[in-house]
Amino acid sequence: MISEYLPVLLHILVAIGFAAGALIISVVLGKAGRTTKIKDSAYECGMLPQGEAQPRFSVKFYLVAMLFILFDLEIVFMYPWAVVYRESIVESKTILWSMLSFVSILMVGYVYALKKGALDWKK
Amino acid sequence: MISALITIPLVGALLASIAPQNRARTVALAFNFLAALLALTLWRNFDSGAGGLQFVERYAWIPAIGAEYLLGIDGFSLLLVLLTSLVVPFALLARPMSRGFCALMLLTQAALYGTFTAHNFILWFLFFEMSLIPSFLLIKLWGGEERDRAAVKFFVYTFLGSVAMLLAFLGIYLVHGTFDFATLATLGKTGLLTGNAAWLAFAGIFLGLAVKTALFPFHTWLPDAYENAPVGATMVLSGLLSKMGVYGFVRLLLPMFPNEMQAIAPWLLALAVCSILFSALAAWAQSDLKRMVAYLSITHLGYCMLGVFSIGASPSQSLVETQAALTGVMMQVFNHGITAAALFYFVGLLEQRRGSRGIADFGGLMQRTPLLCGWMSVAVFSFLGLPGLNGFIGEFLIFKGSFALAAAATSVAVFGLLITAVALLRGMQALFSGPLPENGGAFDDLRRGELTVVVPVSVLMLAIGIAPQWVFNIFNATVVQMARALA
Amino acid sequence: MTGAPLLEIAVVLLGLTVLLVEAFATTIDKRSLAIASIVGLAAVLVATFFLPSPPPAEATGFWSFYTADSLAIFFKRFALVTTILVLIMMIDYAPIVRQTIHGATHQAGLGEFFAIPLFTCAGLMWMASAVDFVMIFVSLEVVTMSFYVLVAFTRRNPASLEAGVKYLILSALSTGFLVYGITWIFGVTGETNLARITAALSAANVERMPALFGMALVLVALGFKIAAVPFQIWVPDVYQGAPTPVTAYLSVGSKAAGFVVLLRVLEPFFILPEMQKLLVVVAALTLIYGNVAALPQTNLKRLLAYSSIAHAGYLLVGVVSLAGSAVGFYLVSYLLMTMLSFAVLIIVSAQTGDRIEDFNGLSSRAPFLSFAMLIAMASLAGIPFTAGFLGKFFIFDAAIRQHQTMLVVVGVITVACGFYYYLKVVRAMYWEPAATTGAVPVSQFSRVTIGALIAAIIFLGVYPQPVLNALRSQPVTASATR
Repeated sequence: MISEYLPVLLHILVAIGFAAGALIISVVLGKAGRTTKIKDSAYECGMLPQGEAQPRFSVKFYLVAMLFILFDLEIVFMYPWAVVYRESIVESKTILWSMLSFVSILMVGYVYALKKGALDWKK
Repeated sequence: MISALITIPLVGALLASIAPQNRARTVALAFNFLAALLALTLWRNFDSGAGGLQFVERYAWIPAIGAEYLLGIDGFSLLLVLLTSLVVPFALLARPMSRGFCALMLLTQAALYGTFTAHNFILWFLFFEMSLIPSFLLIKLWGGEERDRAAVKFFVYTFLGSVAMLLAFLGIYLVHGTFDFATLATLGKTGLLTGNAAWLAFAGIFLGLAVKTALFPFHTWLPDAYENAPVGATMVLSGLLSKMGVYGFVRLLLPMFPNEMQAIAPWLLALAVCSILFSALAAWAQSDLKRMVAYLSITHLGYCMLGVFSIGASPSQSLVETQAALTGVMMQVFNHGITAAALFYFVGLLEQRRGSRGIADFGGLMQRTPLLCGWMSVAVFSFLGLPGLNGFIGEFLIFKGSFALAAAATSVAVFGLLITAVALLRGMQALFSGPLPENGGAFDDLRRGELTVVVPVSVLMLAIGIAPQWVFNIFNATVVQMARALA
Repeated sequence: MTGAPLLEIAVVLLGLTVLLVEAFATTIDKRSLAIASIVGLAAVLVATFFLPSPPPAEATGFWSFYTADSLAIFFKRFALVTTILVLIMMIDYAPIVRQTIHGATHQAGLGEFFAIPLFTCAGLMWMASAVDFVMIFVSLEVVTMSFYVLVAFTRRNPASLEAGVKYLILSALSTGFLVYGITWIFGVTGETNLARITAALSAANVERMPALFGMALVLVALGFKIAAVPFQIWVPDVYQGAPTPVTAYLSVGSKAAGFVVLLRVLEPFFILPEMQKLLVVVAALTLIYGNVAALPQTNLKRLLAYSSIAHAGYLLVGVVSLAGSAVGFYLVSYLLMTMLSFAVLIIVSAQTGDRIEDFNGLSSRAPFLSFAMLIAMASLAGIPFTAGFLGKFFIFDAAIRQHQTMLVVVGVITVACGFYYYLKVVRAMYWEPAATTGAVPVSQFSRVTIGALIAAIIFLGVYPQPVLNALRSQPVTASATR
């Protein structure tokens, strides 16, 4: 009974162990704290580290990324739908209409984003 | 029928509040006339031989909590309905007031009709509380110098009392699952609750009613409220609102908690006696006419309480005496309603003419305004219980009944009569005789309009005093039934 | 698939239309969008009274995760009324939104402000009908997502931003709990449909511990939604920081949705007696914390936040006592009185502020508004013949019947606490001298709305039968009396 949940317990243990292990190993092997000026400088390639450690990106990046995820997921969702209902879609048009209404809701979102200038980079 | 009786003043209040300022009182009086007609019709069709509820209206209201729309009239209810129909127009005639005042008076009237006819706690409590808000506003908006303080005091006292009463009834409901007065009274015979719960519930209800009746030591709101309220409101407060408490004692506490009443009867009787004596003495010491009458009102309500508590003290002692005491209480309720209203009316007239109401501000009125003094003395003598006038009958019956049931308390309480008489006669002497004050100025006698109000009321007092049988007939059967139920 | 599901579709379509109109018609007065939304929602509300025959009792296909029983229809109406009232408040609040959003036009952002509540409303309506954990989760997310936007809507205001971030993080956390709990329950029973979960749990060989664990996790997530102790920490800051109409929406809509779900999951939950004990403890703690923490508050919005926690406590007492109709009635009365107090708060705070002392002497400046607040506070405190009193009464009555004496005792004591802090507001309005003079302007629309709310509170306080009838014969009480 309860023993069936042993895998879950193991999973938890492995997750904790992995997180802790990664931290410990990086400290041990990475020789953290032993830094020199040369070690910190850019070596042969890359840019010189100037400015803040966490620079602020324009909000437009996030906007585009979010819109991308949204429509990406739509495709991810449509793909299994198409596979599963390949046959039965002939018999029942409801399946088609359901997907079309789903897509049209996203379409409204797309039109709205377009109209609001979310995809207009220069604005 | 009864629903119509409650609705008429409500509609009247609505119309009075939108009527032109100078017509509002006419509208209010017209609706009072209608209500009075309906009340008289009820009386005509009332079967005075039957003791139970008549004209019953019963509808489901909130079944989930046992609330019913249950209206009905027995003798006691009818008596108070008639009194309401009498006193409210009387109060409206006391002084011309604005439309807001008239509307609030009519609202109070509707609440009073409801309180005296409802027989389910939730409905009864709705009306009981409904009377509180308009009377609070009447004092707060149209009152005298100290109106804010008086109104708040009045509100806080009565409200806290009501909360206690509500909690007590909720407790009873959670045990028995009913709010019906008749059912609770039947249950009361064998003890409604047991142990501490019974005492808590009793205390809650007692507190709510005692505050309303201004029983010592819960009376301190009353002199301030009566003194500062406008005349019309004072008449309604003293004539009617205080009766709600007495009504509650007879209708709720006596039948529902007979055992508890009996157990602490000596203490309750002591409170009633204190109420009678202390307020009579306090009245003696007053220099303000209105405040004096207010204190005397407490004394008179104390007589009612004496009657009620003596019944509670030994309900099974003697059926005759219990009946006498109950009859006395009801008679006293009716008479005090009329007489107190009349007396406050006269005080209002004097204040209107003089601009003040200190006893020392007046003097020698007998020479200048014989009519006013003559008719006013009728009210005064009725108030101090002169035989031949209405005040005597109720007091006599209460003392007759309660002497047999609780001799000691009654013997002490009788002194209240004496002190009341002294206080009132001292006031009369100062007012009517003696030298005229220097700046007396113009001081009118009763005008024709005022006479048409005063004469019928005084005649009524005299009529009840000489031939009270027609009043007894209203509630006789109810008294017999109640006394039997209590025994 | 006719009838009830069309209601949500109509609301979503209305939302989409409003959004498109907002995007294309840039020059119109955006407040007309709010009016259009209100009219549209009112039409849907009317339509709920003309639904065709009840859905098939056999729960298959679509109806295995969607129900249209009386409880669902009732809470759909509830969501619609709430949203309509919130939109009315938003119209009054529009000037403040304008101040805090710097856009190209002076109306920037207003359109979305009026459009998003429509989607929230659709989510709430779905939630009322959800009888499957997947459906519950999805509709809950629709509601929560739209609230993320609404809470942080006045984004130039740091308090609003802070509220938005707090709400986002804690809400996401609770969603995680919900999904995790659902997974555990699914693991034990192999079902997500509530009725089938009940059946599966009733079997003798069911594993109790994992099921209990899953249910506790679901309870944590729902506790977050309804602001029950110990998941209430987000409430005061978020309520205070969010735009006031959104606060009202959160405290009524979000909470009501949480309670509908709680009532739905009660039947499978209470097969395990431990869950009832757990809920009793949560209810008692919520009652005590909400009422005691409200005592020292000086900001009215914050006071209402704590009072919202306290009311969640009373509602939980009803839930523990299996009194579905009592909970429903309480939620209705809570809707009315909370909306009324927030409506007055918005109008008054636009002129002075939202601290209690800003209400000093309001009775002389705005008699109507202070009377409305008086009624709202009286009802929240539970003074007889207001809807709030009957709400508490039904709950305590049900609790006594279920022998939850401890909860009733705690409840009655905390009601006394409530009297103190609600009447503090009344005292400020009627007894304190006014700091400023000058009347408070009230638009005709708001005046009518406030009047209607006052009338409804008193009417339901005297005659609650219409609401009780609408709640009659619904599944939770039926199973309770079984």
